Amino acid sequence: MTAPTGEHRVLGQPLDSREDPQLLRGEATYVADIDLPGTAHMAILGSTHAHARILDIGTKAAEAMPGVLKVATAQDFADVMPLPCIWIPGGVESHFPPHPYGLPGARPVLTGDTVRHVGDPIAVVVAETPREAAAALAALHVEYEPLPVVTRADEALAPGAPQLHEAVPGNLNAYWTCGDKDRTDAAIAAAEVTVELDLVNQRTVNSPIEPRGAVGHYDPATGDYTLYASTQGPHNHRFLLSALVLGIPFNKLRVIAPTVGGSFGTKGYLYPDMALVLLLSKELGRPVKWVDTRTGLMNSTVQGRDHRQHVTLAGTRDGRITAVRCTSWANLGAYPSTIGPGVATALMGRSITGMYQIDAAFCEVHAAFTNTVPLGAQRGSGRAEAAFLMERLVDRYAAEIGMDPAEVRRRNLVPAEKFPYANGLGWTYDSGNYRENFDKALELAGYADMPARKAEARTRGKRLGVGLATYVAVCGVGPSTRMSQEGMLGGTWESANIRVHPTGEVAVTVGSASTGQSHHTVFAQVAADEFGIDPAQVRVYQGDTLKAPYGQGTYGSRSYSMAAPAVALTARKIKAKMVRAGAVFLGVPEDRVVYADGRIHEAGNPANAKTFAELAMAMWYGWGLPPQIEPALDETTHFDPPDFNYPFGTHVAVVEVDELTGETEVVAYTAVDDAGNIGNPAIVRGQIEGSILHGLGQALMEAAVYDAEGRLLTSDLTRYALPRATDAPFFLLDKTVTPSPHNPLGAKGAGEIATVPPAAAVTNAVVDALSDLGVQHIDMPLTPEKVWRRLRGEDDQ
Amino acid sequence: MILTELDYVRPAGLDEALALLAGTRGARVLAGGQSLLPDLRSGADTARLLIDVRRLAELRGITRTGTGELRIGAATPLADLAADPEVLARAPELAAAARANGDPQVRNLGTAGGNLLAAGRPTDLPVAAIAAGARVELAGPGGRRTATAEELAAAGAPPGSILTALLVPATGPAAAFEKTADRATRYPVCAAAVRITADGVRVAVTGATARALRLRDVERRLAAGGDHSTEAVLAAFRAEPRSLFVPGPGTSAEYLGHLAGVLTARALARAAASA
Repeated sequence: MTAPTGEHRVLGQPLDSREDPQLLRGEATYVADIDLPGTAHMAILGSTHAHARILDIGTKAAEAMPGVLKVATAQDFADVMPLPCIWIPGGVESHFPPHPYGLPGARPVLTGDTVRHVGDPIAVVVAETPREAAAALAALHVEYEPLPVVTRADEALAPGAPQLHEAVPGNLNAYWTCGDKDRTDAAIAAAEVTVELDLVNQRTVNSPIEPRGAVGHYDPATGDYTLYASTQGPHNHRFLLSALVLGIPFNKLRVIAPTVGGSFGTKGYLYPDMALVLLLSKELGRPVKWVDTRTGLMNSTVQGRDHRQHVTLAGTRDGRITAVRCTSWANLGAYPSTIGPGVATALMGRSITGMYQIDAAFCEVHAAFTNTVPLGAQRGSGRAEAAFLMERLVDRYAAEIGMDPAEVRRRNLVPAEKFPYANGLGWTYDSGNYRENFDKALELAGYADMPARKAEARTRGKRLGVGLATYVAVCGVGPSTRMSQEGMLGGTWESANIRVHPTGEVAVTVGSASTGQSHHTVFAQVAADEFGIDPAQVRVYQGDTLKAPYGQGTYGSRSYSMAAPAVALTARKIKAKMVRAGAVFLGVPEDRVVYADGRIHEAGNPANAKTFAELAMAMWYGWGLPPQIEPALDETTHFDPPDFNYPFGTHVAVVEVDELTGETEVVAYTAVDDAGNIGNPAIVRGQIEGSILHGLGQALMEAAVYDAEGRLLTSDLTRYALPRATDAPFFLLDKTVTPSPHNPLGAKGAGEIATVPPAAAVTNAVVDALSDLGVQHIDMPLTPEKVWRRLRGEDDQ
Repeated sequence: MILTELDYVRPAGLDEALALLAGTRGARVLAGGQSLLPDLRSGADTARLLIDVRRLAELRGITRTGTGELRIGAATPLADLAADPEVLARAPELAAAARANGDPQVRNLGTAGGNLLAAGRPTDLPVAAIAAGARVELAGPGGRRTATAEELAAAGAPPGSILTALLVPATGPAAAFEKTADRATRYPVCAAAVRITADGVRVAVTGATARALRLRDVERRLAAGGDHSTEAVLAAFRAEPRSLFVPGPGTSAEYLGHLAGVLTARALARAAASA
């Protein structure tokens, strides 16, 4: 497969996003905007205890309240199967709650016997209005018998810890490893220098602007179910819900994703509410609607990160890294989320060597269940935790041997001639020129000027610090067979259909579903560029399982390197057909037909030509076609790549720490990312800026804090700090371009990649600012008081 | 979603508003709604009747009184207060405090009076009003009266009364406001306001303390030492009882006391520079 050559007129151009005007004007239709005639409204009661037996749920008072149509508890859904888990730790023994098909189970649609986290859904009310449903919910009386609570993965694995699931002895979902333990241990034992860190990659709350919602509509006339949901993967959810939860024919369920207001990884999961609105719609004979609140989201929607790690790096005195080892305790929360166990193991563990050529590497993950909200992906997930530990270690190592951290990195980068490069942990990097990328970032950041800037800052009462972080982020999930070896219980290919209308307009329909990535704009660019037509002629459709070709959804920065290649390949199929049919229409042999600039013509005779629209009309009529050419222009491609793609980059954070208050300001942030060939640089720039801000959030302010009873203390946005526009640093952004050989566009993932290094870059910068005080590490978030205490020489360890 | 039923009325004048307030159980005054409405939605507060005073002419506008005060109508939006040339010149700590609130939408809706009365929320205006030596005008069933901003911060407005105006001595420009905003709420972790007058320095802090407070002991220590250097101000704050400062999530009393000193020192330096 080769990257495209020649002129691109549309692809690579910063066209305005088509979606933005309606999003900005509030005109887009989200789940909350869907009001089907006769809709009834559902409210969900979540457990107020993190771990307790439910002795009784008193429903009488709620049932008698005005407008109440139905109060249901777990007993009402005894026949419904639990949700499944479909990404398990690959290649190792693992333990899950049961599912009747022998699959790994996740959680029931309503919990009946024992609640395992605050927010665990235990009852629902359906009423005429949302207000009546909420009022009745408040009248439900639940009797709990509290059980001991555990909220940390390492503590959950200790002897005598409270047990969450009968089928999961000792709360251990899996012990998963990658790399070569013996070789790594030996290299560390023999090393000239070793450095170690204990890290807490704290749990963070995924915070899309739109909390989730679902509308279920059962049509008794046809027996068809329709689910409108804020989902990243409508086809996947259709399959999982129909076959593995509800036990209804696949043919009877349609899933529609309307506009989805952000996701960051949260909306690719199955949640109980999706099944509940469908079941209750059938029972009540009315559409049933549920829309979450912000606090509801924080106690129900998958959360991110949450690893505790002990990490070791070994190297020589002259700056060559010889080994890296990571032991991690991953907190999966109370139940496996749909893909959480895979995220916490393979996506993190195989990524820890990053951009560096390291002879010996080993990672082990103890994945455990605790009484917290289930863990899932969060933008950059796994790879961000990996980059954090590696980049913190490299800085510690540089300090230990007294070498400039930039020089240490430079000495260990995988050389450009080594690609494809097997990193020893299971990934084979497709392509890259890390040195070019690294040097470009340091140049852009003005790295050489930093000593002077540090001195100047001190005259203003500020300590200036510089932090580097590099990364490689596996993206483009992915090669289906390979993913099955990683424990994925499903396909991970992508698809596109293109239909050329008789007028020459084009409909592109994709199996993925945008949650804000401007698919309508970029996929139109891809098709228009392939066809050589105006992108205004192209419309993009997605998100409705009845209309879209099968696809696996939008996650892991995959759409531009998975769905867009399917669009390009489909356009090429149609162009080939246009050439074949064109030979007939032009009255020349096929090898004399040239497709160029959105039309065909006879080679050497441009006057003998048909425009795109003329061909489209001729194919619509089908007159004069030989039997071996079917009428119409309508093609579909299912794209399964040979391997993943590996975007990478170098980030440089410059911070100023206030000497009196400990406040940290990120005054400049340089990012040079390599996402291969880029379809729309304006959209990618938006993703990069948003990703960086997302990462700064974890570094400086975000933390999901659970108390000893398992209650999330940071359960709304007055307690959980998110970065805002005013927190955005001065961005210095550039790119390098190393096309991936694994798809016809040469594309690599982009949507989340810049979330991977900022936490490490900012932490490295703050530690740099305090390095003369002997500070070696500070746990995130780097709040002012924590930093202030270190400024005063106190130790927070 | 506000779960309880409530009525809404927009009275024609202040007298009607006062009558409604006196005669209706569960009646609440609504101005900008930036505190009350979130509390009604979350269930932290309840109301049966909202009396919307936002458009009452007698509650709006900024004027200079004969006694050299600025009279700021209680329903004046924070955005107007922050941008008013007279306020910027003669009570700059107040303008800065108004501007420190929320974001532009909040400042366009939120009012001076609402900000002063947002009980339970460490809003920005009270500390500036206290440092400025401001008074407030209250209309109630028994007529009109005034109280100091300090008294208002301590006791709130009497039941049945409506805050009609803020009266600010126009002695600026030697005054300043400094704030460290909470990352999540943008309310102050700590804010300090100072005003330098012929009688000396007035210092007030909020956020770090249970409510907006004038710190007379700090003022006395600074006056006695005659030294406004950062070290001197920090020392003046270290002498305060630790219990004055109320720890929050991730912030100890020790740190808050220190931060209050730093912000006060910075405010003093700016106030002195603009004098």
